[in-house]
Amino acid sequence: MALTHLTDFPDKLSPMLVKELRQGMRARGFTMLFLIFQGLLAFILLSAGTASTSDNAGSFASGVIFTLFAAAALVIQPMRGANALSSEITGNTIEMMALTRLSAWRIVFGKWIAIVSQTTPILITIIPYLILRYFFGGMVLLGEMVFLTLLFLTSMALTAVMVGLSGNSTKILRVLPVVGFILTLQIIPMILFRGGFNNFMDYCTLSTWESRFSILAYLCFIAYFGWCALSFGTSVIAPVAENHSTARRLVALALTCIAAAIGLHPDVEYRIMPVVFGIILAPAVITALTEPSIMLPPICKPFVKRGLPGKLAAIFLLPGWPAGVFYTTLLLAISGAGCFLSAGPGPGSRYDIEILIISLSIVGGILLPALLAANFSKQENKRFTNFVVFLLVLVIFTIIPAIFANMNSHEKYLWFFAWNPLIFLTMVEERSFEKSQLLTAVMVVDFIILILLLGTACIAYRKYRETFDEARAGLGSDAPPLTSLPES
Amino acid sequence: MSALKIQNLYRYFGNLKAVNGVTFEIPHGSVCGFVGANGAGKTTTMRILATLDYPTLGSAEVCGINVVHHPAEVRKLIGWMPDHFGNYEHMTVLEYLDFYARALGYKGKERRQRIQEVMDFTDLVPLADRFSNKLSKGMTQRLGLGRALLHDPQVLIMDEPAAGLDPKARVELKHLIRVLAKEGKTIFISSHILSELGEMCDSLLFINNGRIVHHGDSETLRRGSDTLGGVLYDVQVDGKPDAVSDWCVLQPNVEFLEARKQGGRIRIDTEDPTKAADVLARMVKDGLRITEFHREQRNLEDAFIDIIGRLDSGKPALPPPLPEEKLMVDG
Repeated sequence: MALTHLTDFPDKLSPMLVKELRQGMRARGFTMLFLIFQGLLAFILLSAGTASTSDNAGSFASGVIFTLFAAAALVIQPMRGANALSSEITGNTIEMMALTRLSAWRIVFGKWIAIVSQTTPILITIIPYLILRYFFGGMVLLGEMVFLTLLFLTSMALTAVMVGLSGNSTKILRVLPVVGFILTLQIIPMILFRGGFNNFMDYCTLSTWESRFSILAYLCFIAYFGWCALSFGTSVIAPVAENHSTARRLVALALTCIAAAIGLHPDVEYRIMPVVFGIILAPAVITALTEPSIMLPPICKPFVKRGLPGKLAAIFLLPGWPAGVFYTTLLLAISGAGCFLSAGPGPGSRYDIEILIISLSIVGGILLPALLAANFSKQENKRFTNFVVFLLVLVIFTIIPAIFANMNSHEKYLWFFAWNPLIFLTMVEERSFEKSQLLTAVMVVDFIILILLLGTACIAYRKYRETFDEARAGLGSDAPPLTSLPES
Repeated sequence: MSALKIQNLYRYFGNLKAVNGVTFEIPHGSVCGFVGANGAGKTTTMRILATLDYPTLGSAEVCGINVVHHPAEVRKLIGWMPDHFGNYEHMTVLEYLDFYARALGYKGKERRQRIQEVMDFTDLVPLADRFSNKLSKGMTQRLGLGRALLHDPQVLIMDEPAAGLDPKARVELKHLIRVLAKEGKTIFISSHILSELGEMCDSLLFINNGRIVHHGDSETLRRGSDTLGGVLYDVQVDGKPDAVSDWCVLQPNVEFLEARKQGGRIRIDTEDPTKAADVLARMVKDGLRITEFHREQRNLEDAFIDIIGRLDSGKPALPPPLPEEKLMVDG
């Protein structure tokens, strides 16, 4: 038997990429998308060509080309990642892969890069149409190229989010983003045809420092978000004895410290600091608060090896939600200090009470579902799902009372829902509430939730003690017994 | 050093004690059958050995390497074949093996050579261009075996490989396992079909409710001794069939097990053949007209049921339960 056709992909390519490309290129989804995309583009260019006498034919063609590309790259291609890992898990193939030399990260990364590499042909095939469109006139060449690149990079990040979430066994977590994408699909043409495209072009021409900085910040944000998502997916499928959490936490910690340091610069707009911290903290904190708390000696070993500093670091960096709670507290403390110092301490402080209420409300809105998930999650691997469900419930308990209060003009009833920190997001909008009262209330609510969460985490963290002892006993031995065991 | 060594292994899922104090060793180059009812703890034990699960307490080693502390090293030594595994859409048998060969680190010519060897061994060559998700159960199992053998592992762990196979596929699989055993591989295999295990296994492990209840060779079990502590005989008489059971009631070392057409099945509580001769002589002396008296070869299913039956009546000692404070936090 000749195995010559096994040389279709070079050895240097990741096995996952080879596998995914072999499968993906034969999948109907990709083929149909590609053909439909090409057909529509050709049709639109011909239509625009016949109407080329009109002044706005060029911008119309651009709008349509970018709408189609955005729909394909921002919606359809990321949605293909919705089952990337879950199909391997339910198909019982992920374990087969885990037994090879492929690490969990390489599996997730391979899944992601395969979908991205299938978006690339779509991107490349758009270029001839853009060249044709150039002859219609009115084209902002640099702007449109930058915009195209940004769309592609955003597609990469969204695909990473979908691939990262796809490892979850619960369908709700995979369905929610799909619903979001479907909504986005309807919003894209509205944005691009109602002046939005020109606004984007203003930014994408990179003519001002502000636009350059905004685009750079956006790129950093999507890169960080995409990496966090892939890292989360890796944690979900990795064997329990592997630790992928500490690296993620260290990166977020470093970014928080850097952001806090940058915030000290007098030229930095202090109002933007809560947003920056929010972007950095959100993925790090949510994953840290919802990680399973299964502890094995190999995970503890690197911390135990480093003696007291290692033991102290373990309190914040050990995988699992109990250490995640301490880590979250640390990040919140650094961010709080960063915001406070950026606004300027003392009597001349510039801090905005509304921003403060909103920030604390969001913090509480994350901590409360985490507290509920910590106490009511029976299965360790369902903790993240439970967190999302509790968060959705809180959102519902925010929206419905707010609508009800507005309809009846009984805003004061919203105080009955003050246990839900997210309710302060609506209360802050109402003029009938004293802002200082709201601030005090949200601080009290957040403080109570945090204390309860820390208490729960302390109790759970104490259970790691035995595993630490086992890891300590195992140091220096090549293949030590796990523990002293009862005789059978 | 044993190929597989498990010491006081416990695996709890919440309140469910899937594995409850299992200890055994399997020497290099042997074929060991792992027998137990559904939910007895077979798959959990095997998954721990395959580094796919972790013990709540206890240790598991493959060729002397701890599966929890050094999973990557263990994975190089084992080939794992689960009871059920999915195949990929839009991927041929050849591409399937190529993917795993790449994932195992094989490159270029070596990779193609290894795939060729495995396909020849498992007779997958005619199926090379078939899509892997369109194969029959027997073909899929051969493909799974081929995948498990790609890196030429020392130990093969197979969970119910014969489940759902037709007789022809079973014979083929059995043949492949025999060949692998001849090559000196250690094979740890679970199955419900005890007769097949008996034919190809050097030893059998019985597990029940997460505990090992028997570890021995199939021949001993067939002869009806070992854990049962006696030998089974089929006795046929001329005259009233009840005569045998009536006679057994009065005998101290003889137990009547079940009635048969012209007599019954009895157990004599010793393996000593002279004692059996004594029993026969006493029967004749007491007036029983014996037409047949022969030692019975039990099938393995009977042996298994007998052992489980004895366990249910609480006869053998059981390992101590895991102390509550030793339990790790787990779902």
